[in-house]
Amino acid sequence: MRVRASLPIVLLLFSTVASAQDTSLVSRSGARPLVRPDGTYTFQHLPHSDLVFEGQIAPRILIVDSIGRATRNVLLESKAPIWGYQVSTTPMVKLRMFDQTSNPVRTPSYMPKATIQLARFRNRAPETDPDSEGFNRGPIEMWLIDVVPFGHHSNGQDGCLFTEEARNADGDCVEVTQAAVKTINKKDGSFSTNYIEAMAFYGRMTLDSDGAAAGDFATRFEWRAGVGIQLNPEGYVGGAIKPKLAERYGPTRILFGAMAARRDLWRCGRAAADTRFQYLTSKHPDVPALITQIEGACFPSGWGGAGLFLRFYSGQDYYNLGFTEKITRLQFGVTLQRDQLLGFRIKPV
Amino acid sequence: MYATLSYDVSAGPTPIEELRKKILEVFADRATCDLLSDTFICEVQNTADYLALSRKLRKVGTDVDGQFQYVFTLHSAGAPLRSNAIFPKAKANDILDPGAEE
Repeated sequence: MRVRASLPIVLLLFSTVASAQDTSLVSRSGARPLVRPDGTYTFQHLPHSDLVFEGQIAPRILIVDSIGRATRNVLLESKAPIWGYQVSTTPMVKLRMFDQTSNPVRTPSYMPKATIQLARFRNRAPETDPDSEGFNRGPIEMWLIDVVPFGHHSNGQDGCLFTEEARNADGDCVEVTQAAVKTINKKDGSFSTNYIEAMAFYGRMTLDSDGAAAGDFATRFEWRAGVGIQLNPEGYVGGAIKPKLAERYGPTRILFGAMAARRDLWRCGRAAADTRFQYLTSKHPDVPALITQIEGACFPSGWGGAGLFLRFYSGQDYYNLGFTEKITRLQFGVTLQRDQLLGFRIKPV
Repeated sequence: MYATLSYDVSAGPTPIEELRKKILEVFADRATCDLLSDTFICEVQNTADYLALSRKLRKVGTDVDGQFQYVFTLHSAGAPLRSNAIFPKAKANDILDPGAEE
């Protein structure tokens, strides 16, 4: 009974945090916007397992930003490209609570990272009169370079990766039991890697002024697609991936992502769809090379940036020591919004 | 949102009365405009609506060749109205923030 009661409590806690953040769905021009953040989630999945709930906590902390300033200059008369950049950090954590004795949260994923974004905006409106609505509707073209110069993924454990190993006097894991196929130590096995990631996106935003701040035109519909790569090099700062993990994890990954979002669709202040694919190299034989993730989300107006989502995920388990397993899940729950719909300042009249 | 218009008209080829008529014609189909002492205020639906009014005012200015000088400013709903003159607050609030409770 205690386990059954815990999920509503967790959902309630998360929704309290969500309303406290009160993030607007549309970013006002000049404000520091959230572009492609990771998002915060709490959810369950189908088919049912011994999971009580899974969560991802990923607040984006903006340090330096000029994308906000860029949104005040894109709709000026010249239609020249405008550049902006943003430096941020995200102390991301993923955790799963299991329906076992004492409801353990088994080895959470700690995934802090730094992000640098470079954006290039251009007004592609066919009209030339800066005071006309057509000029201010865009579409706005956006090139986005999204780089993670340093990302870390570990589970904070100090055991050996395999159950057949134990630490010797020097602290190194050595084989103590002979086994043809080694078993991952899921209780306290140490998982750690550092990565570099870079993605390039191209997208467009069409704008209108309904519901936008005074003096702004805001994104009504947007889409974006991009490709990139993630590298998990050995020896990349402390906590880097070790050879034993590298040959099974898939240290080089080709990334593809696409998204579309619309403002004010049915009861959603923001409705969004997001698709991601990853192609793994040097992966474990039990997992497929391709990871597929398709997500749809609805953020009702007045929910302070909180929303409901549904996600299909298939491929290598992303939860640290689960990397040797394939999972196929339909995930559903509540989330805090990810991207904000950008607002752009009209030419000063 | 609402917009404020401050203007000055000067003598010239176009009679002043005709010029005033042209200015008022810009706002003719609007129920929520009012001249509050020294400030003309109008509710606008959104930025596009404001731009449409702005274009019409600019056309009036062009037609009368400099006899009509103006500043037409957009304000967020509920933003305070600055005026040195005395004006009816209740009437102004209906335009400044139509969604607000009395």
